[in-house]
Amino acid sequence: MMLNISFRNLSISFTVLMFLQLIGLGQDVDYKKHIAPIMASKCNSCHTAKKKESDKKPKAGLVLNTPTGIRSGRVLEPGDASNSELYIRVSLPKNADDLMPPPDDGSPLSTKEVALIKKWIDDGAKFSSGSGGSLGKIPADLDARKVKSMPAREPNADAIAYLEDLGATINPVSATLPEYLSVEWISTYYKITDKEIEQILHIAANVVEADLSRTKVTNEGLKHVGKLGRLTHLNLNRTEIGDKGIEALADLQSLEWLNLYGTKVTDASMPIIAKYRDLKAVYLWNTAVTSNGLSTLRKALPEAKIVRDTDDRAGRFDNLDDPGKFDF
Amino acid sequence: MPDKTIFNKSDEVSRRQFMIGAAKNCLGVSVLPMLGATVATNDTFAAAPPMRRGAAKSVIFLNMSGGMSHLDTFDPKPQNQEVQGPTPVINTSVDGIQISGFLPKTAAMMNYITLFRGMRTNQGAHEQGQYLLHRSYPMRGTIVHPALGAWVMRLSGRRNTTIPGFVSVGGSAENATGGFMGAKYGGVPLGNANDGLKDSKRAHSVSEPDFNRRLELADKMNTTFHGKFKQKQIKTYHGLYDEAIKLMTSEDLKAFDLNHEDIKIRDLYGQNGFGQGCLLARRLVEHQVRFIEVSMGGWDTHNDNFVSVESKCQILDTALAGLISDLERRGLLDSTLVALGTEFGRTPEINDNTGRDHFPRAFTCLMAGGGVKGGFVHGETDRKAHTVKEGIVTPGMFNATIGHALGLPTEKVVNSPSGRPFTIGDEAKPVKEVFA
Amino acid sequence: MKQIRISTALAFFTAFFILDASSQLAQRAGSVSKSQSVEFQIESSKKIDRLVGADFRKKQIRPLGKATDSEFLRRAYLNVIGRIPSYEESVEFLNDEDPEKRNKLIELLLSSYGYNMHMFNWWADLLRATDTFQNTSGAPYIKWIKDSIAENKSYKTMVHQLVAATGGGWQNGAVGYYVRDKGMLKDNMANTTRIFLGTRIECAQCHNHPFDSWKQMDFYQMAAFTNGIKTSKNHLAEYLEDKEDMDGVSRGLRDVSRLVRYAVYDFSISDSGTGTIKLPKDYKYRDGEPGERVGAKSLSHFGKTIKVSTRSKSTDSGKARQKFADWLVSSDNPRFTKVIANRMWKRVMGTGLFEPLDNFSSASEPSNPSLMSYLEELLVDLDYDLKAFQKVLYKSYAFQLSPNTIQHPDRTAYHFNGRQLKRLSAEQIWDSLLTLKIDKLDQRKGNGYGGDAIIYGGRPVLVGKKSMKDLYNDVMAFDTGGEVWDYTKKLHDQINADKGGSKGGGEKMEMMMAYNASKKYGDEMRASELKSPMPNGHFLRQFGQSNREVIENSSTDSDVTQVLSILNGHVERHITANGSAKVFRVMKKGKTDKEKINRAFISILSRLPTTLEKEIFIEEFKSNGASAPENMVSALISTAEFMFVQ
Repeated sequence: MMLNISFRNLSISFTVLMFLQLIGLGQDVDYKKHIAPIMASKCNSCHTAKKKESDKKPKAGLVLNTPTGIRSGRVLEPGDASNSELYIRVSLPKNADDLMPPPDDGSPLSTKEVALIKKWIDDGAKFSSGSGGSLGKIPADLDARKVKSMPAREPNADAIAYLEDLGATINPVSATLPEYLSVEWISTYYKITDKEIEQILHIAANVVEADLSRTKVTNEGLKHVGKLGRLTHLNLNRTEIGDKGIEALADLQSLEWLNLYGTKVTDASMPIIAKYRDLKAVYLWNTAVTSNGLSTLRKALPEAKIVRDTDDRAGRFDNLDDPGKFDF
Repeated sequence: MPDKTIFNKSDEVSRRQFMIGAAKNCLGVSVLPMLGATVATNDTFAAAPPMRRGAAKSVIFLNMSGGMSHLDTFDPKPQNQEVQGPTPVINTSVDGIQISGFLPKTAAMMNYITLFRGMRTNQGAHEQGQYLLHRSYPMRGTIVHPALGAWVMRLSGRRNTTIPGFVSVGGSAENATGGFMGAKYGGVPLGNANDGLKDSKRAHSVSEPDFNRRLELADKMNTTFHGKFKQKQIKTYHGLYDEAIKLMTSEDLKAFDLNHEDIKIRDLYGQNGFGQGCLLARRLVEHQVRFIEVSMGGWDTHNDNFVSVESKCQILDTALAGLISDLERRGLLDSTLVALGTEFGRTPEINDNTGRDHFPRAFTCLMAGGGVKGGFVHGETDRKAHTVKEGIVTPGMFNATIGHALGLPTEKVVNSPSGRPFTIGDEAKPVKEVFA
Repeated sequence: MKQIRISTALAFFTAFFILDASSQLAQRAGSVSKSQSVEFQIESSKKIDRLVGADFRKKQIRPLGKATDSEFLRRAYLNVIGRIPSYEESVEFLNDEDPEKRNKLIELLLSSYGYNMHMFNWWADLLRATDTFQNTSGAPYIKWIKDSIAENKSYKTMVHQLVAATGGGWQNGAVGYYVRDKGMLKDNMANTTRIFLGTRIECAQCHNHPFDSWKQMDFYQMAAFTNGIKTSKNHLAEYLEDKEDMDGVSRGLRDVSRLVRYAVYDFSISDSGTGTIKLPKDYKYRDGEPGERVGAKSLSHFGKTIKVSTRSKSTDSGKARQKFADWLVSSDNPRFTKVIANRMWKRVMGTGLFEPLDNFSSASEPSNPSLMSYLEELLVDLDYDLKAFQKVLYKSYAFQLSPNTIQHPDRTAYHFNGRQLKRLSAEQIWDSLLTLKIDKLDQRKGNGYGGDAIIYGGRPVLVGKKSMKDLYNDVMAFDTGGEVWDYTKKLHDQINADKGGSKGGGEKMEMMMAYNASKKYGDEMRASELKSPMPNGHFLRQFGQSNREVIENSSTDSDVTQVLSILNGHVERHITANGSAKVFRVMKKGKTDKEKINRAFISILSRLPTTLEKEIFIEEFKSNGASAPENMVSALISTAEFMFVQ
C-alpha cells in the first residue's frame, strides 16, 4: 500500500515535470498573478481569516488568503516544495485521505496549478517580485496616535519583501493573527542604521514587536520608532541610544516590554517610562540608572518587573537560611 | 503561554477574547509578583493583540549524564534520614519548596523554576536511558530516532540562517543526531566550549586572497558541471559552499568565541567545562540559535555518592543560577526555555559503598524561563522518594512539553523514510499545567 | 557528436534485442564451472544488455551514449575498489590502446586487494559490524568478514555460517553476528529478516503490522528461532566474577580474570537456542494467550514453512537455528536470491531494480521484472559467487552508459538508463583523499589483522607464546571454577613476567606488524583498515560513515561542516597545505605549467582539462605563481565533480 502511493506520486511528478517543460522552466511564477488566484478559487472557502466574530474560523487555524497567513501557517519550506505541506497536500493521489482540497467537497487542483505551486515554492516562495521602488512615500505627518487608529489590514507584501531585502526578519506574532508582525534584524544587526529602521514605517500599522538590539540606531532614529503606535515589545539593548531617544518614544503607550540594557539611558528617562501604564517588564542592566531612578519607577509601576542587575533578579530572600550566601 | 500555532486549540480562546475585546485576559496568576508572567489587565488591551507572553524561541537543554540523584538535588526527603543520608536541605526563595543544601544559588532562583518531581522512565541503563531522554523513543536496532534538537529544527527551522540552529556542547555526538531525518536536521557537536566552531576560520596556511581565488576557481570549474547536471543535489551541494562562506564571514560567528566575554561573566558561570558551556549557550541564544544542549557527566555515583554529588552540585549550582540570572537581566529568560534532564534518578537506599545505584522509577528534572511557571512543583514522590505519587512525567512528555513551550505542533507526525510514523514525544502530551 | 553517440547506443541495444529473439535462453553449461567460465560471463553480460535494451524499447527510452574512458575509469575505480585511481593508474589506462582495456581493467580491479577493502565497507554497513563488543574486542568478527571476502566465500555459505554460528569468537568469528546483539536478539531477528529477505517485520514486534500482512504472532514465531541462545559455560564466568570481588585480589589479577571472562565466555555461543518463545504479557490478539509459549515458525510465502514444536524439545529445538539457516538460504526461498541480486545490481549500477532494497512487499514490482528474474537465475547459476556476479554486471554495456544527467525522484521506479549521479560515500572520500596524499595505499593493512594477540593494558602481551586462540582453547577445556581460576592466576603471572615482550615468527610476526600498523600509519589507511566505526567527530563519521547501529546507516548527505572541513580543516591540512602530498609530487614533475595542470587534473578528476579549463588555470599560474598549485588542488577538490561519482 505504501508503495502504491509512491508510484502514484511518481506519475504526478512526471506530469508536473512535463508541464513545467511546456511552460518553460525559465518563466517566473508570480504570487499575485499565479498563486493567489489558485488559493482564491480552491482554498479560501475554508482557509480565510475571520473578519468579524460571526465569521467561521479558518479550518485548522490555517489562513491561505493572505501572504502572512500562508507564511505563518508553517506550510512552506521556501526552495523545497517536496518538503512543503502546501505542495504535499495538494499533490497527493486522488484517493488519499489527506488530499487538499478534500476529495469529497472540492475540486482538486489541476496539474497545471500543482506545477505552478511547486515551481513557486522551489523558487523561494516569494510574495513580491518588486522592490522598494514601487512603494509609496512614507507620510511625513505619521505619528503614534494615527498609526494606532489605522485599521490593521493585511500588511503590504511589497513592503515586507523590501524590508527583507534590507536584512529584516519579519514574522506574524501568531499564526492566527497574521496581520500583527514582529520585525527583527537577525545576523544583519551590525549594519542597520536609522535609514533602514525608518523603512519599518511602511508597515507601521502592523508592527507590534521590534527588535533593534545591537543595531546602529541613534536617538534620531528613535523618532521613527516613536511613530509605531502599536508597539508592545521594543528591544533596544546594546545600542547607542540615550535619554533623548527615549523622549521620542513617549507616545508608545501600548508598550508592555522594553529592553534597554547596555544603553545610555539614565534616571532622566524614568518619568517617561513610568507613564507606560501597560508596561510589564523593563530591563535596565548596564545602564546609568541609579537606585533612585529605580524606586521612582517601582512606585509608578508596582506590578511591572524591573530588572537592573542580579540583585533584582530573585524574588524573596527572607525565608532563606542564609541570604548572604547568595551574593555572587 | 507558548506561541500560538495552528495546531493549538487554546488559540481559539485567546483569539476570540481578542476579537470581542475581552478586558480580562487573565493568563494565569503566578506564585510570585516578580515573575514575568504576571499580567496586568486594562481596557486598552483590545487595541493590540495579546502579547506573546513567554513564548520560547530558544531552548537550552542541560543534560545531566550518568543519572542525577534526585534525593541529593531537587527532591530531598529531610523527614527521612535513612534515605536522605548526610545531604543537607535548605529552603528556597519560594515558600514550601526545599532542595538540597548543595545548591544554594539555585535555591535563590527557585522563583524562576518549575520542578518535575514525578519523572519516570523504563530504562535503567545509561545508554538506553540517555537515548530515551533525547529521542522520546526506546533504542531499537532497526531505526535511529532523531534527537530532540533535530525535532525542533524540523518543526520550526533556524532563526539565524547564517549559523547552525542546533549545537551540542560537550556531550556525546549521538545526542545531536538527525536520525532518520538526516544530517540536515542534526546538531553541530562542539567538544569544548572554549574551542569554538571547528574549521570555521580560514586556515593560517592560506591567505585571504588565495582563499578567494580558490573559491573563484572552483566556481568556474563548477559552471560546466552544473550546466550538465541540473540537479537539486548538485544545487544543494553548491549551496553548502555559499553557506560555509556565509558562516565564515558571519558577524554571528563571534557567538562561538568566549574570548569576547568579560572575566567577571566567565566567573559567574564557573570556570569549568560545563559552566563555560552554559555561557556559550547564552551567547548562542543571543544570536538566535534555536536549540543548544550542554552536557555534564559524572553523575553516576555508585560510590561515595555524597562526596561526588556535592562536588558535581557546586559546578551545576553556579552554572545554572548564573545562566538563569544572566538570561533574565538581558531580557532573554522569557523567550528562552532552560530545561535540565537526566536519564534516571538514584536509589533512595544507600548501598555498601555509600553510593546510590540506578533508579528509573522516580527522579527529578526541571525547567525555567520560556513561559513556564516559576516556583512551581509538578509531581510528587512518596516519603522515601521511591515512587511517584502523582504527576508522572515520562521523557516523552518532558520533550513534548519543551516542544509546546516553543509553540511546536506536538502531535505532528513525521514519517521515517520507511514510512513509520513518529512524533516529538512518542505521542505523549505536553504537561500544560507548568505554563504560566 | 552527441547525436552520433546516442544513435550508436540505440543500434547497440537494438542489435541485442533482435538477437535475443533468436538466441532465447542462453544455453546452460555445467553449473559447477559457470562462475569460472569466461564464455558464460560474456554471454551473461550480453543477456543483461539485451534485457535492459528490451526495457528501453518497451518504455520508448532513448538510451544514453557510452561513457568516456575517463568517466569509465573513475567510475570503475570508485565502484570496484572504493577510491579514485592514482595518477599512474589513470595514465596507464588512458594511454592503453587495447580495445579490450575496459574489461581488462575490471578484471584487474576485481582481483586486487582494494576490492576486498571496499567490499568490507559494504558488509560492515550491512551487518553493523563493530570491532568492539560490550567489553571485549570484536576483532575476530571483523577478521572473519575480511577472510570470507578474501576467499570469495559464496554469499549463501557466508550467510548460513553467520546465522547458524556457534562456538567461541576466537575459534569462529562468525558468532560475532549474535554477540554483537547480546540482549537484543529480537531486534537481531528483525534485522536478519530485513537484510537477507528484504522484509521488515520489526513493526510487528509490538503490534500487528499496519500496512503489511505481518502479525505480532509471526514476529514471535520468527524470534523463537534464535531465542534462548546461551553463552558457553556461563557458570564458570560467574565463578570468575565472584572471585574478582574477593578481598586480596589485586587489580591486575582482576583485569586478567575479566579478560578471560569477556573474551572467552561472553564472546561465545554454546547452542542453537530453544526454538520457542513466550508471547509478551500484554499480548492482545486472539491467536495466542499472553505469556503463552509458542514454537518457532518461518514466515509464510517464503518457501517451505518450517516449524519447531513446543513439545518435542529434545529433537527439534536443539537444531532450531540450524533449521532456520537452512530455510533462510534455501533455493525454495526465492526472496533470499532476489534481495541480494538487487543489492548487487544497486551496488554496481547505483539504483536498485526495486527500492527500498529491504522492504519488498507483495505490492512491489521491480522496474524491469524480466531483468530481475534473470539476475536471480544468474546468481544461482554462479553459485552465489558475488565477485563473479559483479564481474558480469561490470562488463555489461549498461555499466558503461554515460551518467544520466537528470535526477530521478527517490523511491520511484527507475528504468535504468545510465547511473544516477551520487555523492561519494564517506569511505570513498577518505580513501580518495589518501590516494592524493600517499603511495601504495592499498598495501597498508590494519583492523582485523591485529589478529589474535592478547591485549592487556592496551598493548599486546605474550607475543609468540600465547595467542587469544590458545587462550580460548586452554580455557574452554576446563570444567570447574577452580581450574579456571588457577589458570587465570598463572596467566596473570606469565603476563607480569613478560613485560619486555618477545618476538615470535611466522603468523605471529605478521600479527605484530599489523598491530603496529596503527602506530606506524596513524589513521593514514583505507577506511576498511581503521576502527569500525571510527569515533564520532572523525572525518569519516563527519562525512557519513555508519555508526553501525542500524543497517545501511551510512549517509551521503552533505552538510556545512563537511565543506568547512574541506576548505579549512582536514583537507587543507593533509592535502592542500601539505607540500609533500602525492598530488604535489606528481605536479612538480611536470616541466611546464601546462603539464602541471594536466597532472593535477588527472590526479584529482582522472581526466585532462578542457580548453577553457586549461586557460583558467594557466591564467592562475601566470598571475599567482607560488600559490597557484595549492589553489588549484583546493579548487579541484572543492568541485562537485570530485565529490560525485558519475
